[in-house]
Amino acid sequence: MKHAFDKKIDAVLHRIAHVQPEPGLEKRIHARLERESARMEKNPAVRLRRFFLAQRLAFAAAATVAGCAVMVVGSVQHSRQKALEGVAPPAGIHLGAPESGVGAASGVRISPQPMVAPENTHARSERKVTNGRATVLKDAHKPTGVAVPGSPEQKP
Amino acid sequence: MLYRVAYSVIRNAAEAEDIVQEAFLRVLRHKEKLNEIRDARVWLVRIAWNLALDRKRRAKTRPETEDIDAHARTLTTAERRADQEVISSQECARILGLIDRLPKKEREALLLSAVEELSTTEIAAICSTTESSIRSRIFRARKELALLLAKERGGQ
Repeated sequence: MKHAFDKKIDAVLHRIAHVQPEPGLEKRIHARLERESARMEKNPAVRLRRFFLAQRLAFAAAATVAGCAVMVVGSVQHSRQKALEGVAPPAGIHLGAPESGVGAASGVRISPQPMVAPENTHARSERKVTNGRATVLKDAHKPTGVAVPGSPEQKP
Repeated sequence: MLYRVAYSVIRNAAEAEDIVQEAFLRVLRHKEKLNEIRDARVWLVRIAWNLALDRKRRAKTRPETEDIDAHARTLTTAERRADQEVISSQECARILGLIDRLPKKEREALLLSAVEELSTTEIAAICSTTESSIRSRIFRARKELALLLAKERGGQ
């Protein structure tokens, strides 16, 4: 039985394998190809596509060069920008601390003029260090009304 | 050969011829790529094969117009007689229907194996697989087909 089935399968496959087209298929294919070829020649889109395909190496090279040029120009511009940022800004300009993320209060402030120390200045207190402890002298200038406790060493 | 490849899938003379013409048109449209193709024969068969599968897929929505008898006109009297001794046209159509019920991979390998001009290596290239895989697919397809035939006979 199995042999009979195989025979039938072979017969079906044989039928498929020996099927023949209507005579003149080559001529019909040739005619259609010629028609299509003429139509393609007239089509400007096809011509344009063919031109781009033919010149694709040149276009690829040009695109690469353009890309490199953009990268170089961008890099040079970026370097210049950085160099300009490195120069000290004019006096009186407030520099924030953009990289720290801290607000304007902690920003660097540059004084518009050099700071001059007052002439008759003196320390509000004079300290003398003995045995690692600071001693406030009695004659030290203090604002009036400020009580200063006496040093335990000066007690009688 | 292209006609037979297309016919094995679509089983309609007019459509198979149209597929062959379409395959050559594709070659014309992509003639710039011809230099890159290793095996033009396999490439061409593959185009026709894919076109036929596409059409078959689309044709599933409309009634089938198989004309397996049409090829009988092209067979010699001796061939026709030998063919009909083994299998009637009705039975042939029935077996082709069973072939359509086979899993896709097995069905494709079996149909391509029917085209005598194609070697197993070429069938493997068309299906993008190995020769051994094609051999086992054909074996499985025949086994499955024999089983389906036996079931049908049992049911009758």
